[in-house]
Amino acid sequence: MTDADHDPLLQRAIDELRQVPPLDRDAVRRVVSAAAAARLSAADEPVFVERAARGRSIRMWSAIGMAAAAAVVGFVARGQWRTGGEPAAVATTLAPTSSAPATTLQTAAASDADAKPILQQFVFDNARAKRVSVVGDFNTWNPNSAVMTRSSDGGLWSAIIPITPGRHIYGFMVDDSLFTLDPRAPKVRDADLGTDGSVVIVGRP
Amino acid sequence: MKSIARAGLGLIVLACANRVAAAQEISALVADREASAELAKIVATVRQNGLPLEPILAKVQYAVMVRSPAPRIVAAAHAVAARLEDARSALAPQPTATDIVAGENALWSGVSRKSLEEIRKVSPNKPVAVPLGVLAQLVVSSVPEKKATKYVTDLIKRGATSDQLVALGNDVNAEVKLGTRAMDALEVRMNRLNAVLGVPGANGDAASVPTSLQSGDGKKKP
Repeated sequence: MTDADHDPLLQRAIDELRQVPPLDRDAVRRVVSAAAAARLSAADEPVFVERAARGRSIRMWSAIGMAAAAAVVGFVARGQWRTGGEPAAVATTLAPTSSAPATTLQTAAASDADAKPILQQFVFDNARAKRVSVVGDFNTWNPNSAVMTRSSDGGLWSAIIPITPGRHIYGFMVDDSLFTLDPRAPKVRDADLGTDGSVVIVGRP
Repeated sequence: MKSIARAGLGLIVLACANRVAAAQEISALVADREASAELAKIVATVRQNGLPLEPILAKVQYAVMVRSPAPRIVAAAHAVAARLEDARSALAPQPTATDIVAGENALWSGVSRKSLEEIRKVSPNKPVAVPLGVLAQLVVSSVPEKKATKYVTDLIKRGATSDQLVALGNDVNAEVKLGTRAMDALEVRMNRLNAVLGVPGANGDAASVPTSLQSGDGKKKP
């Protein structure tokens, strides 16, 4: 017994919907002809292809398909899929880059359990910010890699991200334009570039 | 057989795509054509030498973010590449990529190659990323390198966990930030660790143990 059996209104609605609409035979003929015409394209017509040639053709197409797929995977994995070949992006308009190299590192060290990433929490206090992300050498300073979540009261931002053990330099990117150090962390000078960064040391318990 | 060949082809194409992508990544980041070409060369060399690329890409990305001029970015990338090579040979024979990156970071922070070798010597078959990170941070916090190396190597010998090492580095940092002298902060923390790890020198290497460690209640961490 379903609800429809008890409810006459619901039963009427179901009966209406079950009725088959009137058949337009011309429309059916048009659709069938179009489908038949579409099937007769060269690529779908195996009758005229020699078996051996067909085998080569299939191998060639599958190889090209594989190559294309692999290339797409390669580009996407590196976050390099750009639609328009935009010019260089600087600071605030940095194009997103992926952490693919980090993946390479993890793979290289995969045999070592101690080298596996460890979850690390970052907290940042800024009530006026609209968007905050953690940027550091662990995510190749990509502002889209670790976007922080705002607390319910609105002032505190936090993110938990996996980081490989060791010492890392990082900071916070506020509203995609302002690089800020972590006031709670030690600061270190980058001798190569003459700039400052915050330091975190990550280890496995 | 067919599927193996296909998989192989896929991998080759993927590798080529990644190579192109790394070069594109660099050129997209650095507008200056000459600098971009130079950086691509550095990346290619580092890759050929089997070194991790992440530190170079991270350095370039960071440099662009802080608006460093192109020549400085190239110089920084060269420096990173040289340090990676140095770190690998100092941490020989079989450093992991994580170890090499940590070694590069330590060299960047002013730790000498000799200290890297000493860390490797006491930890030949274990990852050294954390000890190197702590050592680097101690050196940055103004602990003399020789002493810092001695403390860290001693802790490794005594079986300090990665977490204990991290806590040491972070605690010293926190106290230095509050105005305590780095060496004083380190001594206090080492005494506490000594209490947890047991009497130093019990395993026969008392001579190498810093004096500050020669106290404590002898309790050994299970």
